[in-house]
Amino acid sequence: MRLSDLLEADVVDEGGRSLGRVHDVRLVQDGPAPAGRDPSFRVLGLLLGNASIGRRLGYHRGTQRAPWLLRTALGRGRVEYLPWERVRRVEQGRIVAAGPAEELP
Amino acid sequence: MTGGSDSRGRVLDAGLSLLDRQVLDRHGLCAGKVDDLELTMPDEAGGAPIVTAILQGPLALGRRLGGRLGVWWIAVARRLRNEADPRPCRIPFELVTDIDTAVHVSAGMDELDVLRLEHWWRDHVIVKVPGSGHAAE
Repeated sequence: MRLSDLLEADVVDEGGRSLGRVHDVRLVQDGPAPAGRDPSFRVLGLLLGNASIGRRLGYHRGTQRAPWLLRTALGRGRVEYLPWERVRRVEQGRIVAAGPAEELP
Repeated sequence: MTGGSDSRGRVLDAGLSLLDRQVLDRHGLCAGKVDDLELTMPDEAGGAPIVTAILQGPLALGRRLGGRLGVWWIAVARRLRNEADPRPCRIPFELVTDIDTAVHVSAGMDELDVLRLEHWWRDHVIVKVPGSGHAAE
C-alpha cells in the first residue's frame, strides 16, 4: 500500500454515510525499531476534510505564526480526525470506517 | 524536525511534512524528492501500517497526479525503462536520519537507487554525442 492510496480517498461508515475525504495522514514514530535505528513511523490516524490551500499549508493545526487575518482566512473549515483503529478496510479510492469521526482535539 | 510529539514519539502529518520534500544524502547532495511513501501492514492483525520506504520518480508521482495526466505520466516513464515490470525508486525509511525542511538519509548518492533517469540519459543520449567518451581529455 502507498500513502497515495489513502490521500484523497472518500471515507464512509459501515452504513455508507460519508465522513469526509482524507487530506492528510498523521504518523507517529513509535513503530518497530530496526537494529541500531530510530523507531519506525506508523500511521496514527487520518485527517478528514475538504482540500484547501490553508490545510495544504498547515493552517488547520492552529500553530502557524502569521497575521491574524491570514490565519483566520486560511484556518477556516472543519477538520476531523479518524484514529486508524477505526479503519475497517481500504478499498480503491474508499476507506470504510467503524463509528463516527471524532473532532480534532 | 517538523510536526510535534506526544508521549509515544514524534508526530507529523505525512502530506504536510514529508511529501515533496527534498531528499539529501549523507554529503548533503540532492537525491530527488519524496513522491510517495510505501506503507506496509504489520504481521499482527489489526496493527497500523508502518512507513517502510520513500518512493521516488515518475512511477511514484504519476499515481499521485491521477487522471489522464497521471496515466500518461506513468506510460511515458514505463516506455523509458527497459524492465518488464518497472517500479519506483525506493529508499528504505530506516536510512532516514532527520526530517526538517528536507529529508536527510544516511546513505551516499551512489548507494541510493535514485539516478535512473540520469543513467538512462547517459546511456541513450550522452553516449551518442561525438567526443562524449573522452570528455575528461
